[in-house]
Amino acid sequence: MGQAFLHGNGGSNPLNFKVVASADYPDSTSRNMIPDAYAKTATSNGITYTVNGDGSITANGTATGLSVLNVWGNSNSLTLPAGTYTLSGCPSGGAVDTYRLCNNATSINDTGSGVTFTLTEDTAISFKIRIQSGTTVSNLKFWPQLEKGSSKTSFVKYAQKGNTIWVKTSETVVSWKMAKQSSIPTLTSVKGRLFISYSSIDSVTTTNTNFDALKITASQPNSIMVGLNAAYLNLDGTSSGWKQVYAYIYKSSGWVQFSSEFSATIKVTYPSGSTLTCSNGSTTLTATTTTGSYTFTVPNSGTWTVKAVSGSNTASQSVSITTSGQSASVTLTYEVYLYNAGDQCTSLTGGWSNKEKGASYAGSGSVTLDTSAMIIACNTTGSRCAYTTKAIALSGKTTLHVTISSMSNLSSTVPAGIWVATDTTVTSYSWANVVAYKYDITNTGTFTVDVSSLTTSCYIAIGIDSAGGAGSITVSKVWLT
Amino acid sequence: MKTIYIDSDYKCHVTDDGTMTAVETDAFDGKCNTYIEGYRFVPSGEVWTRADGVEFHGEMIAPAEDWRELDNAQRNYEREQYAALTNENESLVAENAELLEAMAAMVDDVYNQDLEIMEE
Repeated sequence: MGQAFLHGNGGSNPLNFKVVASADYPDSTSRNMIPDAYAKTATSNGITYTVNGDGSITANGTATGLSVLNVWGNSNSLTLPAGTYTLSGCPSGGAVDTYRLCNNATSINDTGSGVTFTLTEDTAISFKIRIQSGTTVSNLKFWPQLEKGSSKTSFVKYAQKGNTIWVKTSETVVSWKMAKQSSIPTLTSVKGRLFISYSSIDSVTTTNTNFDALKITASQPNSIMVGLNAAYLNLDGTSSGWKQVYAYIYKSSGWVQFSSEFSATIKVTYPSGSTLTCSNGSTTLTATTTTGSYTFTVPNSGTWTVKAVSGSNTASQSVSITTSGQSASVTLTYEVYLYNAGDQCTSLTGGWSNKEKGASYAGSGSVTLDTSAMIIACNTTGSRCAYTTKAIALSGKTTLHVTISSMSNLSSTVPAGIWVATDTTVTSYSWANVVAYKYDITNTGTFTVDVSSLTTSCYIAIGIDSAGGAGSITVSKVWLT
Repeated sequence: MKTIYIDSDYKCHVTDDGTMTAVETDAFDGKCNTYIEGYRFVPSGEVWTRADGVEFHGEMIAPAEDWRELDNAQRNYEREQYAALTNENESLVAENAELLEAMAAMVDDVYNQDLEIMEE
């Protein structure tokens, strides 16, 4: 027995859907639209109804009250598209006060000759045999038939065609699969009902809908193509509008609500105009806008890499997603080099200049700009710094990075530092007008200063000073992100 | 040297709410309260992790709010300080003038008294 397992992105609950190809509904190779498998042998108020298997239903007994057998649908649980139909199959001699074949509202009545009716719009409906109280019937055989058009034709048995009905959804269905399952899963509806019944189901109620043996035969973006193998699909309410249901997907442990499928988000802030992707190696999601802010919904846990590309600029960052419902945030900015292994990035920095860190120590150190690195040294009780000749625009940047690749004699009394200042004035002992700094550097490594709240242009200075003993640092890279 | 207080996010405060850590620094000498409370101070040996996951090791100071606004607040503060000092100075000058006048009157009085004595 085949089962349909929809695997969606879990982005919405309830799931939005609508029938697209409802004009072809119901789906039968014969003229008769009433599935004979729907009605079940039953007794109602003294009348025993026997489903014969050839499409006919035999009634016997005396009605002790209003006796009803649902022939197709229950309490207007079906939707018939607008059109003209003919209902027939009531034995001759019927009447509204004895027996008849009719709709739920008893506005369409076949008492033996058939009845043609027109629906001007998609209409909620159901059909039943109705025998009034006190009526005695003996082997009264009904042959329910509903056919399109205004002509009553001879009875033919319903035959399920196995065609397809398109159910369009606003959700992204990322995959689907077939599997085996012995028990019949349930689908609980809330707003509107996706009402699917099947011949092997003994009873179907409007509050607990069962489905089985659905077959997914194809898929396309934003659509689920539901093919009906040995079942048929009834939609409660109008078929033209969007409906909502709680949908379920099958996992190894059983059926779980659609929304509880894995879903996590990664919010990315990135340079506007860039192409933004999010990939875990096998799945790559691409942002549909280039506004500078985008949220990806990822369908799996693992390491996802978000990447922004604009011309020759590239920025990427890895994000670890571990649990469903997790929300991560990432900011991507392109690297802007101020110094890179001998390159002084002069167009931006104006080159790197050399001065004492504090005026009291003038002339007591050196800055060497060679072909591969910047070496800043101070003598005993001296200080020295290298700084950008031009002020650097910091708007849109969040972090200043400085890599010190080697050092000599750094200590708590001979530390290095990074200064961000609005001008290049030095006081007796340090830079004036410093707006951010990182100090007490005594090791090699890459050091950072938060510049995310600085929107003005500033000079960047890297220096070393000494309260006792000479020292030096080798700076290999300075950049902004 | 100033004593400031930092909260668990390393944001600076000028008063302690009982949960903060006191830090002595000369980084904010001459700065107004608004400027100080717009900053973040990460002490040496500690690490602050920004919302985007980037780590910053102390000692680091950096504005936690738009620096332009902090700078405006500081400039206003300095203007007010200057105006207050100017007013104080003007008051002192006025007081000084009154004292000078009083002293001149006293000198005149003494001179006149001496003349009277000499004439007698």
